[in-house]
Amino acid sequence: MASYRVVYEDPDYPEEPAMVLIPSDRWLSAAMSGKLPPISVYWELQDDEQKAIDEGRHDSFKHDLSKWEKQFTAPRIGELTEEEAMEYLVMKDIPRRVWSVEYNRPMFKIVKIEQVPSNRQFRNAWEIAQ
Amino acid sequence: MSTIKVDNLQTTTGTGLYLAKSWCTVYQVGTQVIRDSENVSSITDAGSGYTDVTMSNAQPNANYCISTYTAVLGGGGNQHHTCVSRNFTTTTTKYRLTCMSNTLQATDGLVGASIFS
Repeated sequence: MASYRVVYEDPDYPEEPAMVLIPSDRWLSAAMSGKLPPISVYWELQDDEQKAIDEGRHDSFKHDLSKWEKQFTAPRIGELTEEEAMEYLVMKDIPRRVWSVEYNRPMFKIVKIEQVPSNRQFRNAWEIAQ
Repeated sequence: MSTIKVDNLQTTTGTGLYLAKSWCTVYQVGTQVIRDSENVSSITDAGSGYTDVTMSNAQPNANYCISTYTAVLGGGGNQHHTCVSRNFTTTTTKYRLTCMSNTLQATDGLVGASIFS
């Protein structure tokens, strides 16, 4: 079972509460067994799709088949530690604007599970502690 | 273990068989947790009743079908249902599930989804 979570805030949606990313145990197991393609495979797909969204043609968008197939055919990158897998997951599943731009405060933190509150009474007011 | 690779499946009468491309069940109460999943790399707890699901591998396009389910929590007074959020841009890898109470308030529950494309 994963030991970590990623807490982040999206600068494009400042009114939303802090998000908590929870890795899938199956995905983490695959990552630690060396079954992932290079992260660039996913970035290429994300770039193409974002361009379609920006140009208002997302409803009819289809991935280029040769790029899409790389998810399954690209050479695998080898075994990752759990920490490396979490860093890979940040770059794959969290919007790039959150982790690739420098802000005047941290927009995301990789934390241990026990650092995430389990009391959800005020869940929609959560923020990242500075 | 062996892997069977095939482009399409049919019954002996020629009817197509369509398998889920991804699925997950998520318990949102307390610390959100994936109960089980396939082709899901992560979920994101996005607030009370909200879960963003990210697939390990992208679908060919974003016009896939999302079939959702909700388990009733705590007996007859807590009827919930789950829907896919329209104020969230569903992409080829990510969609948002919203668990709603019978008064249409986003609320935590046990939710799940399957993807067909």
